[in-house]
Amino acid sequence: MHIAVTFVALLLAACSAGGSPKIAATDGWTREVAPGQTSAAAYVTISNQGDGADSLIAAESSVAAKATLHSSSSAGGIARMRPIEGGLEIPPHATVAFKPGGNHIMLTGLQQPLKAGQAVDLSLQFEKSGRQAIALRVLPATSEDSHMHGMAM
Amino acid sequence: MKALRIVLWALVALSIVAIGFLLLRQSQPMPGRTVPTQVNFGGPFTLVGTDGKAFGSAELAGKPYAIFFGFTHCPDVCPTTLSRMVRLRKQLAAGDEPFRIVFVSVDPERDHPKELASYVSLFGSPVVGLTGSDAQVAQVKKQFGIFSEKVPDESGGYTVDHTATVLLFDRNGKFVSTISPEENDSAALDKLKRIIA
Repeated sequence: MHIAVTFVALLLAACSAGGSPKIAATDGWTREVAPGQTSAAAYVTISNQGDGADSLIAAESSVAAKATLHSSSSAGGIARMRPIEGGLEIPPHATVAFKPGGNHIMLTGLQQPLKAGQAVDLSLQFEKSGRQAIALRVLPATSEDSHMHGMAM
Repeated sequence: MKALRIVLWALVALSIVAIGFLLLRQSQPMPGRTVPTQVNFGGPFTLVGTDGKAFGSAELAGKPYAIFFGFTHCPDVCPTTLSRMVRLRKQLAAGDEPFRIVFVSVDPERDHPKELASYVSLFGSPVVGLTGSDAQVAQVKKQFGIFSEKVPDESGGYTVDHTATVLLFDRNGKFVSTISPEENDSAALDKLKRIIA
């Protein structure tokens, strides 16, 4: 039994080591901020069509002094926001969506006010796939997702 | 002697229950009374409005309200919650402002009336922004059963952990129920319908 488990584990490890990730970042957006507000949360959808796992390890944007991977939770009725330590794994054949109230990229030290209708740059650093650039659409503060609810287009 | 003491203690216990019962009955809203009454949460308070002037809880009287505690440097949970409340209020289709949305800062150190004013104006629908002195905010947090705690962040600043729940009050200032972030829209709308009924 023990041997069988070890064998399966080795097999799985071999499989994941063999494949390479195929990362695509889409649907990037952030919110308009008020004058004087120095931080904003950015959201993005990351898909991995490849056979190997990858990890999102860092981010940067020319509009912010810093871009940090963060996670919000409201477990136990308390809203908390914490950095994601050690990167975020993007498993093979999976899609990881950053969403309000969950994972987000925290832009701090905004160099310029973000106005609805603008597009700002974001660069995502993956452990294996390297850098991926994506444009973030700046949506009105009332946006709850990237689909612009109730917006007169 | 021992028996007498037991009887006396029993009497004390009985009186406490009786007083509690009377207090509970008294705190039921009386007809024509519009000042918020302290039942579970709420009660009279004074904070500072976005115009920099004192804002007394009496200004909320006569209209139901949904109150949420947060801070303007909160980029994720706070705009998400406020956006949701604004959207739900529109979905009720019960006039422009069937209930007030009140946003109280738990970060008065950074949230001065000016910052708060531009923050609440982002939501394109009336939101009452309130801040105050540390002591005022601490007092109001206590009255509304709100937890908040500063937590240092990785860039030398801080974030604030805080109660994520929205508290709902009827037009008499009586606490009715809560809306949590996990609750779906239809449950939240049912609760909002109750406070505006």
